[in-house]
Amino acid sequence: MSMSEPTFFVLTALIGEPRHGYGIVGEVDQLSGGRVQLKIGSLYGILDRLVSEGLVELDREEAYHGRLRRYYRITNAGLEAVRAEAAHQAANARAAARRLRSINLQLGEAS
Amino acid sequence: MNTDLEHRYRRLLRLLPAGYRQAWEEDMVTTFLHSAEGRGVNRPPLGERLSVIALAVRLRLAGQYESPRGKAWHHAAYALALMLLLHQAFMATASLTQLAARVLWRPMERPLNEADVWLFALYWLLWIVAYGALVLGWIMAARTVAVFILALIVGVTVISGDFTATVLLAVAWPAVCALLLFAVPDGSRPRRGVWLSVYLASSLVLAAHAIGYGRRDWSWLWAIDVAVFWRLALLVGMVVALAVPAVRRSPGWLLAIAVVDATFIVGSMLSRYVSFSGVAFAVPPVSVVVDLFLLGLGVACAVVGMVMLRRLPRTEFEAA
Repeated sequence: MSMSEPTFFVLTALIGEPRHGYGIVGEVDQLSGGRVQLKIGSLYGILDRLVSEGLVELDREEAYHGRLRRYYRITNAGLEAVRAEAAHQAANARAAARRLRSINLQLGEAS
Repeated sequence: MNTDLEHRYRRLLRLLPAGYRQAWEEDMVTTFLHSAEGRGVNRPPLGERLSVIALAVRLRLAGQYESPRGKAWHHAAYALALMLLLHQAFMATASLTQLAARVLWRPMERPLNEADVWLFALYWLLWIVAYGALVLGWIMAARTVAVFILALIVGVTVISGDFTATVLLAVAWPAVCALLLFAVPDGSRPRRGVWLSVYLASSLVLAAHAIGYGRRDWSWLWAIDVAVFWRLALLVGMVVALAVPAVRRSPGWLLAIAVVDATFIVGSMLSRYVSFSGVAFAVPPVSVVVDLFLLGLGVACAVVGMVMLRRLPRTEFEAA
């Protein structure tokens, strides 16, 4: 089953370096060009599910303004899930592009 | 650090199940406060509040992160949904078999409007479908049918302008609400064989009852009020729930059957013993005794269920 867009962006945001909750929100905003603006309640719903599925894990805890802040990192299974989803989305995009090209050709021939 | 804001965020997070808060609350508060920095925020923004409410609803509907007590309450609510739907399926079968008997053997008794008959049959058939779907574990199908039933009642009322159908809402909405809120895909599944057998057995009795009603020479069962069969089912259910060995006894089932029993008996008493129209009905003393006995059994189920529930361990949040 394909993953939801926010879940895909959360996993993608964690590729390369571990991030804390607010860091993930900012990175998702940037990656999606401002289209996906995660609320914190939604983020922790997604993180909870991803941790339980073994796609994300705790990296470390750091002190921030007198309280602990957690950093999360993507696991190998998480990387594999993003790869599979990216391939799935790319295949969909290619199919749509092919269909659009053929329609454009037909329209060109008709005119 | 804004302690008032932190306090407000923590109060908001109390909507989440205790187990979830244990795992995530501290980090969520840190993230909330980080996001509020430099923005002059004094209280959680509406969007964030809604996202936490949505998360709380989703977690609670899924029955995740519940303490043993929370799980028991969840199970009680789920059992309640199952029993309320069984009641509706039972009444549906009684109504449909009676209708079939009238059409087959007593067509001249009181002429039936064909459109009404189809609507009536559809309404009751839908309850049987909803119950079957719930027992088979097709939760979304059961929910969809239940919502359609409510829409059907409201639609008929609005189109016809006849408000007598809204009486059905009084019985329909608790069953639908219980189904929508508590019957969860990840929750405990009913024992299909038992629940289907209970329904099939009651259908056979109701069919015999209806044939007896259609052909009076065939059986004496027609003389018994259908509600007596439901009372009998309640009696058997409560005795079984109390009689099983303590280690296998479920507080969820006990509490659910107690609620169903109290609702049915009190509703029945109100309709039979209280005269709203000023006309007094003669109620046989044996009915009063039976109803009081069933009510007493229901109280016993509730007491045993509550005692079992209180013995379950609590989380530190529940203890606070």
